Amino acid sequence: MTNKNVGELLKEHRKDKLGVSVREAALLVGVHYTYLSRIENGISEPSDEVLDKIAKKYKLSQEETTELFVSVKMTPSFEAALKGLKEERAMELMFRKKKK
Amino acid sequence: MEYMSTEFAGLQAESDYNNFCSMVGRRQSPVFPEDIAETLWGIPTIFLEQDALEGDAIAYASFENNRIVVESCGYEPRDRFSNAHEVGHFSLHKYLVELGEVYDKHEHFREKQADAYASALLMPKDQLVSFLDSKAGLLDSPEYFIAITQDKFLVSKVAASIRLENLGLIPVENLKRSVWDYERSVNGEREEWGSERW
Repeated sequence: MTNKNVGELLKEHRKDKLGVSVREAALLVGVHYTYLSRIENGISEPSDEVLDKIAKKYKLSQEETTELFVSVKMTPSFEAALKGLKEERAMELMFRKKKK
Repeated sequence: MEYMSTEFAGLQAESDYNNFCSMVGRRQSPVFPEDIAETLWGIPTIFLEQDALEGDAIAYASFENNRIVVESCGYEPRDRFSNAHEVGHFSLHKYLVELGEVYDKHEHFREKQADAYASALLMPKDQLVSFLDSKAGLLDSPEYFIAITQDKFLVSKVAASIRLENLGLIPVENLKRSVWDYERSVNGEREEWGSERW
């Protein structure tokens, strides 16, 4: 079993199994690419339904699918990642304000 | 200050695009900047939907966290340009930070360089010229060149006009007109076309 988080695992499968970009994978799965990019980067938590769709479209084996679902629990807090992103953005905005 | 012309920035974009094509084994048109960043340097792009966070939509390159964040402004061609601009910062300027340079020095030049990079990345010169050769005749209007460039390369009217004017393919008057149209749509009523400023 992996100790990777769900985003890392999805990115790995997208590249290894499909060799496509986030946009192309999102189109295949039927979700918006912005959503898939946030899942891969640990900002948004995927629903079971979305994970199921991804597993099917990426043609993951049963073992890989189970691993994917387990990896959601291994993922550090999505809230903390979003908070980190907000802080990073706030710093960026402050930096831009200072320059003006 | 590091010496770098906007022309060099454009050449760097074309070189990055060609390296990307070699790595994936195909040409990509239109170009998606996030694919270039991921394939060449393993840098992820996080896309946020419009109004996901408070305040105006921004895009930025985080050298510290090694990622690009693009908040949608609700108009995809502009989001693509913002994305390409941030890829440009990674390609052109990251080494300066690694060398310990204070990043906000010479900000204005770096922004211009990143804009030149984005323009060349989204509308590679060879592709643009051969596309126009195949679609446009000598007697077609500059407005037509701008419109078909927008459609083909998924860029805004202003971005298409700047690129075409820089390549000497449309007169500067048409670029000014595109900027005027844009400013009028964003800022509402302003000076009339043909006034002293325009």
